[in-house]
Amino acid sequence: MRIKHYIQGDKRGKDAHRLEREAMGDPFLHEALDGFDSVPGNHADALEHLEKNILHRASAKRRRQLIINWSVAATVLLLIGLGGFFIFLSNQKNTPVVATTQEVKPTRSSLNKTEEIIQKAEEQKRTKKFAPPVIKPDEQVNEEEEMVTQDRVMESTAAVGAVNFDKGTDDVVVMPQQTQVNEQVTITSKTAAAATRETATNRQSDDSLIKQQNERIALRETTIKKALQLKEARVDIVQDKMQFGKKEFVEYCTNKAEKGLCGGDKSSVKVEFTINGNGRPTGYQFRKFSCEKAKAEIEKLLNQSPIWTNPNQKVSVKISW
Amino acid sequence: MKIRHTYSDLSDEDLLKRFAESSEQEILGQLYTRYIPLVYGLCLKYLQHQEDAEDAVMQIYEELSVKILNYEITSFRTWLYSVAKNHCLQILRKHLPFVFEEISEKVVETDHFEHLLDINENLEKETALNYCLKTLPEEQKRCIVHFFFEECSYADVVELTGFALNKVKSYIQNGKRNLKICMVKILNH
Repeated sequence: MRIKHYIQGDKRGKDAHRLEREAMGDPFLHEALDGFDSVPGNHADALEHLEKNILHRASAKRRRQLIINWSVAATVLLLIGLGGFFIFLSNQKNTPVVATTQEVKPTRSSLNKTEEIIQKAEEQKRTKKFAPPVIKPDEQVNEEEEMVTQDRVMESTAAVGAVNFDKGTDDVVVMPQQTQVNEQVTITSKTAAAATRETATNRQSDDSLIKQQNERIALRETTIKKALQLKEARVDIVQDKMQFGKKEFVEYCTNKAEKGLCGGDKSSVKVEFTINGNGRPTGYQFRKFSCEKAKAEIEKLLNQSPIWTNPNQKVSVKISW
Repeated sequence: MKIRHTYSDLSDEDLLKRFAESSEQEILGQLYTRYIPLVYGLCLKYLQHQEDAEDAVMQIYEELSVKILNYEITSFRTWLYSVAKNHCLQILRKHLPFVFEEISEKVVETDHFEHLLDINENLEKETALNYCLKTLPEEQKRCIVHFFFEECSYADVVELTGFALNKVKSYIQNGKRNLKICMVKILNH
């Protein structure tokens, strides 16, 4: 007879007797039966509950052990993966960046463009309605792109090199590109101005243009390399370069304004204006100007001015060129 | 289910051996489950409280997984009995400065007594038994006869005699001891 049946109340008959006789020879069973008899209660339910708990704990312990084992394995794999990744990164950092320069030869398309500009300028001169060609920033960039196609390939390679070199910091990637764009605009405008002037002189300026560009490209590469070496100072440098204020505007006008507008004398304009919330100059008030053409030229440049860094300010500036 | 079925087919010693080899808690759980009624009853006897006894059963199981590997166990049942009993006594000692433990000679007596009751083809033994039975007090004699010769359970004896269960147990216990003393005395002479 099972002990469970006995404690459930089935204590009569030969089976119960057998268990009781057995208890006489087994102190464990004897004391257990004594216990069941001495404490009233629903022991059958308690036993079932205990059995379930024990089996559950046993399997839970096994599950816990399995989870621990898998966790350890996953952690080891993760660490190996991360270690590999960092080793890969450090190897990438140690890869030397090879910067090369290549002489830029004007492509046929760029020469065609130059010829077009020259023709246009000559036409304007003939009709005595000369006005310097207005080059929009987009066109400038496009022109620049065409003129330095080959060089751009070099630059982009160098830029990618720079990115790989300092993959840890995103700003490193951004910085050279921004510098590149800014300088492209400057170069292009100068190129355009130079190209316009060439109409009055001769075609030899093509060579000087290319030379100038090469110099600027070399300068740009030097700047990029320097920027890569001076990691911490780079962001400040970029920010400084992106600043546009009074000083930059004077420089911008001096570079861009057409010369000799007031009969061969040096042109001079004093103008006051306000920088609105969008960083655009508004409300021009010309205090002094050498001639109307000079005034018109500065007004035009004000309209084309890049966005000022500090908006909502009043500016008074004297430009002489 | 298949695994549990396999475990249930194995003896205590086999399960013990497997646990020692693999330390799989499920094996220990299966082995301990076999003895939960006994351990629980034992704890009930000593702690006299159902919830305390339930807690003790769980605590003993937790102790087992550590202790079991530190001992060379020949009989798991006997070893578990001593572990469970000691655990209960330790609990009692925490609450009481000293514990009175019943010193029982029941088992030894029973072994001898069972031997004495085996009277097949032993006329001398049978005569001694009949004589000694007559010397017992009436209550002891009735209880002994019902329990040992008529194979009645305690509950049956209670019903037949009208004595309380404790009394029946006591009469049987004392009658058994007296009978043994008497028979040993006669048989040795």
